[in-house]
Amino acid sequence: MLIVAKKEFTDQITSKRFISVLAIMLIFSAVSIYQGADEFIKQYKMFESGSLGEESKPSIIRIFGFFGSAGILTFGGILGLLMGFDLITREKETGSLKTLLSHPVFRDQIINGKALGAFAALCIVVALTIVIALGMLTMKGFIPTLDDLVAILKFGLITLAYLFTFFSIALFSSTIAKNSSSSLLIAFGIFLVLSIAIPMLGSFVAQAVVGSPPEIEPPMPPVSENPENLEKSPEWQEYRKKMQEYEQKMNEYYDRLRAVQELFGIFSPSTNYITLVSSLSERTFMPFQTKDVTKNVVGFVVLPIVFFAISYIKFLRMEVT
Amino acid sequence: MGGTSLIEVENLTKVYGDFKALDGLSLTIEENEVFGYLGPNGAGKTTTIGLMMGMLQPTSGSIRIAGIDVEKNPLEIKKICGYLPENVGFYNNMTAKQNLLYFSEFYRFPREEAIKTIDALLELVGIADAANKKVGEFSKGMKQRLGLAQALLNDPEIVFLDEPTSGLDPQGAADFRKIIRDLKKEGKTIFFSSHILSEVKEVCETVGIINRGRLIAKGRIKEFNQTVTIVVETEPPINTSILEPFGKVKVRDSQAIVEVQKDCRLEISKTLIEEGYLIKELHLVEPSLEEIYLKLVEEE
Repeated sequence: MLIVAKKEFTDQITSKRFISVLAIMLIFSAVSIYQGADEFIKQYKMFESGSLGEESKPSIIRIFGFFGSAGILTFGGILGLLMGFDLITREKETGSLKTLLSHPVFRDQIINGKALGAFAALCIVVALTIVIALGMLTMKGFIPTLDDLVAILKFGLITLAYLFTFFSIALFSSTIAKNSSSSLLIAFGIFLVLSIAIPMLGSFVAQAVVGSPPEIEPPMPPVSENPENLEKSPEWQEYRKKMQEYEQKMNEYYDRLRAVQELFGIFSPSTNYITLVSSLSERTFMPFQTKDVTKNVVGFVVLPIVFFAISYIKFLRMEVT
Repeated sequence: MGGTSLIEVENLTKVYGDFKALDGLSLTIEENEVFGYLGPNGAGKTTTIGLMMGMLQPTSGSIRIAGIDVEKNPLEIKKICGYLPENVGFYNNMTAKQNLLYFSEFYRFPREEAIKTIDALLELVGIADAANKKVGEFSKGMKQRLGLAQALLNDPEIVFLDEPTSGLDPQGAADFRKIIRDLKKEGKTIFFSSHILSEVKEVCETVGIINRGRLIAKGRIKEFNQTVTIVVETEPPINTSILEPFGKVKVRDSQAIVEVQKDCRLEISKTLIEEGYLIKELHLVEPSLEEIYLKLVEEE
């Protein structure tokens, strides 16, 4: 397996396609990190001076910023797809797979080796992003603590899982498609479905299932001339009671809405990625975000495993004629 | 001949969906034999080799090579066999030498030994000058030569060659035939699949003819000559009834053509002399492999 992995790793990191998309992604991330680092250091200084409370301590993850995450979301996803969409189809098209299989190597060693080689290349991608981040922080005079490093490591692992998810989608399309162009179309189709269509469908289904929001808030009673008696007036007490009921209904409504959306969200690597990265910092990118990210972790781990498992079985049963 | 069977195929069947690519194929090939596997396109030649190399799973039947069950031990088979596929493919971004080095890693050869072997093989197939050239820049003929080098990488006991000379110029084809003869001298067994009959006749001792997934004939080329013809011309023109005891007689121009089971020119000449004929022409015509092949395929 290591023989195949070594070759795949070399092929990946020396391919023009990989280098080009990686360069775009890193430039995007570097700009975002540069801005994010300034913002983080400013916030951190405010925190140190006591202007911010303990609960407002800024997270190191803030350095990656919204655009840094968006860059990884988009270009990282594309990079994962481009690394895998023709791994099998190209070998079938050129005939090299048949030549390779005539030598003493098991098919599982080939597909595992390809995945391992790509995983190692993705590790380089994540490591470069982290090195840029740490480099910029150091350049700006901020030395990360151990907790900061742990948070960055977690960010790296989440990013690695995200990139590998799209690689496994591309590998899957490469094992089921007849040629590389079909494989690219299938891979991008799945990318769009998981990144855009499923979250949109989730919102649509949530609205359809949960229905309309509670009726508009109760009308405010007229304000009496004496504001001190306002709280005691029966109209106002009635209004407050109705308002509490309304707020409760609204909370229940949004809880249901969020539950359905989250159900769809676990099938979307991009939603899971944003949710998990957000959970590392105090800052939230998504509305109605909950602290419990177990579902997202499960979805994040299960998706690449499912795609890789199907690719694996398909490749083992493939007739190479 | 008469040695031990190195390849034993029994009742081999391979079905792709609704298409039966091989239909109960049984075949034995002896050690150090150069076996020509003939058949029209789509007859099942490549499928047979794919199954023998353990690259395809049979629907039913069995193959044993050097006593090893191919289905159960495909890796062991690959260690003792070499395979040159039809339209052989390589990693185009790598040089010829890098490609061979990559394949050699699966045999766990020490690197120095592998490099020596690869240099020798590239020399043997005549592309030593292109060793460090990327395969993407190779012509079809050069790829074919590199394909033969990769098939010989592990010094195999058995070499499977699938349409090895397709894409080669006449000199290249002649070089290939010479290499095949040399491999035979080294004691290797060659399984040579082709549809070019003249080539098969030139290098093979034994042939098998496959059509629509079934082996329709197998044997030494001479054994296929079940009927031969004798051409007779005499002065005065012959009365064909004299020749009828020998076989079926046809008349073409002034010549009589006798279809016989074996060469009986001596007996014919004796009869002709006794009957007072002067012999102008008396010769034997053996059917070409092409004629035998076409006849058998048409009969199928």
